Amino acid sequence: MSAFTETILADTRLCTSCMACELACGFRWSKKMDPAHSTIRVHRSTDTGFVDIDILDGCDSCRGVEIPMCVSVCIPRVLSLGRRRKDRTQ
Amino acid sequence: MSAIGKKQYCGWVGKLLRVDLDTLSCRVEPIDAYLEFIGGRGISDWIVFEESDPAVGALDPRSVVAIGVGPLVGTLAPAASRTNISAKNIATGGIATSSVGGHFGAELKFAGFDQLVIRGKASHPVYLAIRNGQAELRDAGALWGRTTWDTEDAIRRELGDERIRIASIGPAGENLCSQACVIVDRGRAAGWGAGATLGAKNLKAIAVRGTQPIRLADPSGFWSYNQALLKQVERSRASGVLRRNGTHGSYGVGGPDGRTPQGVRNQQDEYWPADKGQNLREIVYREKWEIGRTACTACPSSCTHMYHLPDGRYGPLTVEGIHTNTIRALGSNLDITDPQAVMKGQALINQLGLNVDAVGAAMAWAYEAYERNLLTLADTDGLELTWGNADAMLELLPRIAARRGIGDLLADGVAEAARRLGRGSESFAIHIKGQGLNEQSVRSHKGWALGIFTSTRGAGHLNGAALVERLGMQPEQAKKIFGNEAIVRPETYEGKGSLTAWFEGFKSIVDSVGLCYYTTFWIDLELIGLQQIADLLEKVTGMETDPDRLAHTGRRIQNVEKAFNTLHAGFTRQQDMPPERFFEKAISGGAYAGARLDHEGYGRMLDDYYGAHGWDRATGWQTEACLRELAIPSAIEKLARAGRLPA
Repeated sequence: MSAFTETILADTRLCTSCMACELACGFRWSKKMDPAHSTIRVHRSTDTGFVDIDILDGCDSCRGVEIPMCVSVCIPRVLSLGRRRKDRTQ
Repeated sequence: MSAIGKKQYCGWVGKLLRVDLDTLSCRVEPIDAYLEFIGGRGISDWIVFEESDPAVGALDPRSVVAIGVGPLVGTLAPAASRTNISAKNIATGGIATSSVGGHFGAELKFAGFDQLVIRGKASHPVYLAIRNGQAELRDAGALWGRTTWDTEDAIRRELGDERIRIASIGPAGENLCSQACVIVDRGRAAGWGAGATLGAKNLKAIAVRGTQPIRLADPSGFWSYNQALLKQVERSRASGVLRRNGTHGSYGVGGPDGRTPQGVRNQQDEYWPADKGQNLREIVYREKWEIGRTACTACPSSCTHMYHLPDGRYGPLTVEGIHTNTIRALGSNLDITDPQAVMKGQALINQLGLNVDAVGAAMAWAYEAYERNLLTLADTDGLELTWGNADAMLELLPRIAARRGIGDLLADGVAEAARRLGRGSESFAIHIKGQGLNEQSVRSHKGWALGIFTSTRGAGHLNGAALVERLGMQPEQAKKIFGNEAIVRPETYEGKGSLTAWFEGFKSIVDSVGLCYYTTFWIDLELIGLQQIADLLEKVTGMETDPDRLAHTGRRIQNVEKAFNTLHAGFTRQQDMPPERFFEKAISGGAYAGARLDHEGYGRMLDDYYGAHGWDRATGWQTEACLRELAIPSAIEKLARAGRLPA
C-alpha cells in the first residue's frame, strides 16, 4: 500500500480570494452554488491582506475526477493536486 | 416570512426585502412581479422609477434606495459579482445608478434576498443585519462618525462572524456630501451620492451573511458551459492585462507617452509629459509596494491590486482600490506626482466614503479657482491649492467629508460649488448634468466621449461609452458586429451615436444579470456577448431568452433611466453637451496632439445617437412611439402628464 495520499495543495501567496474554489466545491456536493458545504475555506485578513486556506475533513480531492473541482476553477493557480504522506496531519 | 419562498427558483432567490426606517420594520415580498427587468440594475431602476415622486428630493426621508443583485450573482459565471444601487442623484436631480463588486452581492443571495428597497428615516442611527433570511435593524449609535474600515471591523466583532460582508457609509455620507458613496469590502465603491441618501436615512451599514444555496436549472450544463467560458476569458488579452496591470495599467501602459490621453489640471489638457507621470506608473507600485491581488466573486481577472506601505510618512498603510480613476483624480488632474500621497488619498477616500471621480473634479476646480485668485488663502483655511500640492489634497479630503471650512464649499460637488462662488468659476466647473467629471480620452475618442456625456448618471464612462473604441477593434470585427468599419477610427464621429446607443442597452443587461463589464464585450469583442449571457441565463435560471430579447430588455432599462431623468430633472439635449473646454482647448502633445471636439461633428453624432434610440432630436426626449415599442406605458403616462413627450 502506498505511503502517500492525494491532497489539495495551496500556495496562498497567489490567492485573490475570489471564492471560486468554495463555489466549485459546494457544487461538487450538492449540484448547487453552495459554499456553505464546501470543504475548502478561504479567509483573507482585512488588516494584512494575508490569506489562509483550510482544507476541511471530508475533502477527498474529488476522487474519481481527473482534476479536482476547486483546482479546475482556480485561475491564479493557487491550488494543485499533490501528494502527502499518509501519516502527516494537515 | 415563511409563507414566501416555497416556489422553487433557480438563479434568483425569489425574495425582495422592503425596509421601512420610519417604523424600523421589514417586510418580505416575492420578486416575481419585477422579473421582466431581470435583476440588479434593471429591477432597481424600475422600482425607483415607479416609486419616486419627482417632487421628493434625494435627501427627503420619502426617497427610495433600491439595492439589487442579478440572477448570475453568486454563481461561478465569470465575475458575476455586481451589486447595483439605484436612487435619486443628489448632484443631478436625475437617477444615480451604479454597481460595485466585491463579495457583498453573492453573500446577500446566500443570506436569502435578491433585492432590497429602503425608504423612510430611522429615529437614530441603525444598521441592517440580514442573516439567513432574517433581517433586523440594530443600533449603530457607536458606529456613527466612524470610517467605513472601522465600521466593517466593529460589525464583524459585534456579530461574531469573520465572514460577514458589509456595505457601509463613512463620515461623507453622514454629513450628506453629494459625492458620498457606499463602500463594500473596504475598497470598492458605488452610489454616486447614495451614501448621503442612506446617511439622511440614518442607515450606517448593511451586513449580510448566509448559508442558503442557489439552485441551478441545468447544473451539469452550466458547469461544462461555464468552464469553457472561464478558459475563454482567462486566455483573452483583456483579462491578461487586468491580471498583470490592473486598470491602473491602462495608465502605466500608455499614459506618460501620450498614448492614453487623460485629464490634466482640471481637464485643461489631456497630455502629461513622461517626466511628470513616471512615478505613478503601475510598475512602480507593483515593484515597490504590491503584496497581492484581490478579486471579486468568481472573477478570473483580479484587477484590484493590494499595496502596503510599511513605514514612512503614511505607513503603515494597506490599501486596495487604486484604479486608473485614482491616478487621474489624485494625480494628473491635480498635477500631483507623489505615488505615496496618491495611495494615502485613495485610502482616505475609501475610509471617508467618497466618490473618487466626483471629489477629484471638485478639488481640481478648487485648484484652478485658486490659480485664478478666485479662491484665496482666506477662503481655503490657509491651504495653498497650487498644482501639484499633495499635502493640500490630503487636507481637503477630510474637510470635504466633514463639511469643515473650505470642505463645505466642495461637499456638494463641483457644479454647486461653482454656483455658490460664481464670478465666472462656472466656466471651468467640469461636470455633466451637475455630476463632476474625471476622465480620459474625451477629446480624442469621439464615441467614448459621447457615452460619457449622455450617461444617465451624469459624467460616467460605465453606460454607453464604448471602451472597445479605445482598446482597438479590428475593422472586420466592427463591420461584422456593428455593420460599420469606420467606427474603429477614434477621430471619426460617424457611426458613434449608434455604437453608444448599442452599448447602453448591452451594459444595462450586463448590470442586470450581475456580470462585471470586464469579462464582456464592453472591453473585448472576443469576450462575453449577448449570446453567452442568454446561454448562461438559460442554464442558471431556466428562462428562455435570446440575444434579440435581451437587447430589447436592455433598451427598456436604458429608457426607464432616461424617463426618470426627464421627469425628475427635466434634462434636454442641452444637458448632453460637453463642457466648452473640450471644444476650445486641444490636447497639447503625445499621440493625440491637436485632438479636440468640434460642435458640428458632435451635433451630428448626437443626432445619430437620438435617432438610434428613436428619441426626438430637437429636445433629446423620448417619443411616444419609442416607449410604445418598448412597452413602458407607465413612462408614456408620466411623461405625457409632465408635457415632456414629443409625438
